Amino acid sequence: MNATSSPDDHLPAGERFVDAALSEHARLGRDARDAELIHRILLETVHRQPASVEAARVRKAGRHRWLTGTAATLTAAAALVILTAVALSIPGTGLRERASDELHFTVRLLETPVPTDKATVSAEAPQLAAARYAAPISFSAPSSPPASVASGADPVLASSGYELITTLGPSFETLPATGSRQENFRITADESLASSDRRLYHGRVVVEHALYRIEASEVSVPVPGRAQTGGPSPLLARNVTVTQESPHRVAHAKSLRFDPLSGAIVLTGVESFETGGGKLARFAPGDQLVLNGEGFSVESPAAGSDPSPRGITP
Amino acid sequence: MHLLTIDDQPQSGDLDPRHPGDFAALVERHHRDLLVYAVALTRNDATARDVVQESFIVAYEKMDLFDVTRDFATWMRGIVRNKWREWLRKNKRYDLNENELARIDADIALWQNRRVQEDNSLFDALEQCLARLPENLRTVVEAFYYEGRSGDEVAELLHVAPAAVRKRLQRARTLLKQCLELKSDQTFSSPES
Repeated sequence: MNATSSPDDHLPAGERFVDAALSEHARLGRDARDAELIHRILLETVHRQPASVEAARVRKAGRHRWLTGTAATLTAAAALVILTAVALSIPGTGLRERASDELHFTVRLLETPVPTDKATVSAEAPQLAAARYAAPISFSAPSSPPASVASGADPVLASSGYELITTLGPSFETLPATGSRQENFRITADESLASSDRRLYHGRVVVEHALYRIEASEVSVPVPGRAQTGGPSPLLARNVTVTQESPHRVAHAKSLRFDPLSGAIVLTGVESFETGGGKLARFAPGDQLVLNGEGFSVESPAAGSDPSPRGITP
Repeated sequence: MHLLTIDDQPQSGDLDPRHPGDFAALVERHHRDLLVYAVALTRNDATARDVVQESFIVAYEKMDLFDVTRDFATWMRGIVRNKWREWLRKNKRYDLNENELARIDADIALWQNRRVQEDNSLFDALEQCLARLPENLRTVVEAFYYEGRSGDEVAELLHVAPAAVRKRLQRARTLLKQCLELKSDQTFSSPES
């Protein structure tokens, strides 16, 4: 069946098979795999938190042992209670209830504090002060930015000294249970592709987060649970509109980088930024807008460059 | 006769679904055939994907019940069927009768086995059969299935009556079915070499 045919169209069984095969072939072609479906299945099975799977097994074992009345009964029952509690405490156990075109994505990282001299975001940054800003930021910037950034090349891929690239922690799988934090996203998209370590979403992509709603033409996220050779990767997006409800902020930018360690969103190629106190309309090339919960800041690539942002539209 | 007796012997090769790595490989191998199966049953792409997802999860959770001497694909089709019946009950949809269900099941089973034995998929055969369709039928199939047009839109595109489009689609599906049966028969009746 194609997208416009009705499920209530009565087709003979033989035709339904061919109809389904044509539909599936039209959707993904001959050799492609449904990467998103596979990902969802594996996330709920072989990549599932071991405790919840173990809990199910122990529950069965515990029940059996209880009936046999062996000495192991008490041990099994204790394990059942403990592991059930662990399973219930794991967020996202309702994943199976999500709609088919949605994906819950979880990044778990060490809560390592960002060194203050490298931090680009101040949680106390007053919103109105930034709205009135009209002079270069006295940000202690290192040397001039890489040519790729200065020339307007893709800032996401650039290795700039201003990016919030931190010494991100170990791979997801080796994280200790304590000291970790979770960033939960819900991502919906028209299309998704998967590589060994990242997932790429195309089309009208919407990322919903507790603080932000991100609309983008393309979003790339690391595969949860996959070991990262250079440390965990951030969420990257292109052609984005970031909306924050409280405090109200809307930003349009060419690219976005969400650093899960600091919880900051770094926007480059910013086209506009609107807050309750005003609208920043012009940004110099290379400027970065950093959103971090309550605060935000604008960072200029080099001291002495043109003031940025230059215009403030009330 | 395409309704061959399906040999319900292990078709998983060296893969043991009880091992996580092998289970992942089996998901890769079978998910698209099971999607075709689920789409044929539910006639809804999104529901079919949910059914297949749920089925693999149930299989993983109930792996202790899996008889390793049986065929994994057959077991999975059974779970998909059960999930589909659950969905029917919840949504009060009409049902296929048992003969129709058995026929669809046999169609999918043939191609699942062929994928395992020859690494040759239903979609390989489908492409070959599509290439053999008469031009007027292939045009309708491409517009309807591959370009996502409705029957009325196809009719308007081709300047024919909507009834003619329905007829051509029916004819195309019948010819494709026959072509696929011939290909599967050739495979399963050919002597081993």
